[in-house]
Amino acid sequence: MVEFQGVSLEYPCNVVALHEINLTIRQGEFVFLLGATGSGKSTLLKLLLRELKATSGRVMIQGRDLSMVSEKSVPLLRRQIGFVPQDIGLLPNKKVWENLAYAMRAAGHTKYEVRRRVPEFLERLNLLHRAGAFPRALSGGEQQRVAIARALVNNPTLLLADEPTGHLDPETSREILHILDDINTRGTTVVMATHDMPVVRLLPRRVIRLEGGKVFSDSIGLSEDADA
Amino acid sequence: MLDRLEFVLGEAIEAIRRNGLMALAAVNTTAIALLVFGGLAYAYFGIQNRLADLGTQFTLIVSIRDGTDRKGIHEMAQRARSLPGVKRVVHLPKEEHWKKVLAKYPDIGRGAKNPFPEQLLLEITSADMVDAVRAEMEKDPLYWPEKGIQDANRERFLLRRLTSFVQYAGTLLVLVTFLTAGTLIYNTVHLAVMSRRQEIHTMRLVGASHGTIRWPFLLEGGIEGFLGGMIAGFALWGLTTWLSRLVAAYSLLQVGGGTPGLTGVVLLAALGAALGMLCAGLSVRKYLGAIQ
Repeated sequence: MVEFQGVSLEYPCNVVALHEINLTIRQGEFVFLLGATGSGKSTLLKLLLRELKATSGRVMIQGRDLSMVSEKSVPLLRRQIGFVPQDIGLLPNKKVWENLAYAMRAAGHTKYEVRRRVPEFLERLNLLHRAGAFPRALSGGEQQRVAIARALVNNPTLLLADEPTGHLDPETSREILHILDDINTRGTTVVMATHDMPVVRLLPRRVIRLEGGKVFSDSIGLSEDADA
Repeated sequence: MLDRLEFVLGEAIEAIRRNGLMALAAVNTTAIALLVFGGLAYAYFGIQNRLADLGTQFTLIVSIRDGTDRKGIHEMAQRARSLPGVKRVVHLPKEEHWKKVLAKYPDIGRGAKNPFPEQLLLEITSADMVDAVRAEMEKDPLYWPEKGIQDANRERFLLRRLTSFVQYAGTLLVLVTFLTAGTLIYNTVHLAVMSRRQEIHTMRLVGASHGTIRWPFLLEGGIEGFLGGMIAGFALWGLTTWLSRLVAAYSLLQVGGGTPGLTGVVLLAALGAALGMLCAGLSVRKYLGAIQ
C-alpha cells in the first residue's frame, strides 16, 4: 500500500527532516507514527499527501511513485487519501453538516450524493444530533469527529491523522481512537501520527517510532525501549 | 456539469458577498473606466462618421435669414452663382434637412422643433477660393450670421485635430482608468483569496481540482467587471441619448453618431467581464500560488 524507499528530505538551509526512511505499510494496517515534536511524523504525512517532495528516495502509494505524479494529478491522488489535520480546520461559519457538504461538493460530488451521504457520515460518527451546530459550539472530541467524517467523504483507502488526540482528554482520546480503529476494521489503512504514548498503549497496533528524522523502532505495540 | 457550475458560481457569489464594500468599489471603478472608454469610442466613431459625411469636396453651407421667401432664396442663389470660384449652388430646404436627420437618427428628433435654417450649398472650384467666396457671402443681405457658414474644409481640419486628441489623450485616459479598475479588481480578488484561506485549505485536503479552487475567483472578477460594464453601458446610452437630443435641439453641431444602444451595453459588459477575469487571473496566480 505505502512504501518509503530510502527517503530523505532536507529543507532549505540544510535542515534534515527525514533521513533514509525505509518503510512498508500494508493494505488494511493500523500504524502509529510515534515521536516527539520535530521527529519527522508530520513531514512523513506531508510526503504521502504530496505537499512535499522527497529530496531523495521514493515514496510509493499502491505502486505509484509520488515523485512522478504531476501537479495536475495531485488532487486525484488526494481523493484516495483522507487527512485529519492537526489544527482540525473546520470552517467556522458553516454548520457541521455544511462542513461535510462543502468538502463533498469541493471534491466533485453532486448535490444528490451530498444529500444522500452526509446523514450517513453524521450517523456513523454519532454526530447526527449536532448536524445543525456551528464548530464553536462543539466539544474538542466532536470537532475531531467532524474532521474525521470530512476525511472520509471520498471513501479513501488510506486515512492519515496528524495528532488527532493532541488536545483531547484521555476519555475523548480513547473515543477517537476507537473511531479510527472502527474505520480500520472496515478496510481502510490508517496511519496516525502522535506523540502521546498513553494513547498508543490503548491499542496494540504497529508502532513506528521516529527520532530525529530516522526510524528508531518498528514493532507491534510499544517496544521496551519506548516504555523505558 | 451544471451541478459543478452551480457550486463554482455559488462560491464566487459568496466571495463577493464577503468583501461587499471592496467589490462595490471595484464595480464602480470599472464602470467609470468603461464609461470613459465607451465615451471616447463613441466620440471617435461620431467624428469619423461626420468626416465621411463631409466627403472630400470644397463646400460652403450658407444659412439664409429666417423668414426669407422662395423668391429671395432664388435671388441669393443667383448672386452666389455669379461669384468667381463658385462651381454649383444648391438650395437645401430646411424641412428636407430635418427629414433626413429624422430618418437617420429617429431617437433624436422625437418631440424636438426643426432647428435648421434654409441653406445654400456652394461647391467651390479650389481650396484657395474658399475664403474669398465666404467673405462675399457674409456680405449678402439675406445671409443669417447667427446660424453662420459651415465650411467643410475648416470642419474637416478641426475634426482631424479632434481625432488626434481623442486618440492620444483618450488612450492615456483609458489606460489610467483601466489600470485603476484593474488594480481594484486585483486587490478585491486578493482579499477574497486571503479571506477564504480555510475554504481553500479544505478544498485541497479533499482533492478539489485546481479548476474548482480557481474558477470562483476568476468568476468573481468577471462578475464585477460585467456589472461595471453594464452600468457603464446603460450610463453611456442615457448620456448619448440626452446629448444627441440637446445637439439636435440647439443645432450646435451637425448631428453626430446616434446612440450606442443595447449593442453598446453588451460590448461594454463583455469588455468589463474580460478585464475582470484577466485581473482576477493575475491575482489568483500570485496569491493562490503563495498559500498553496
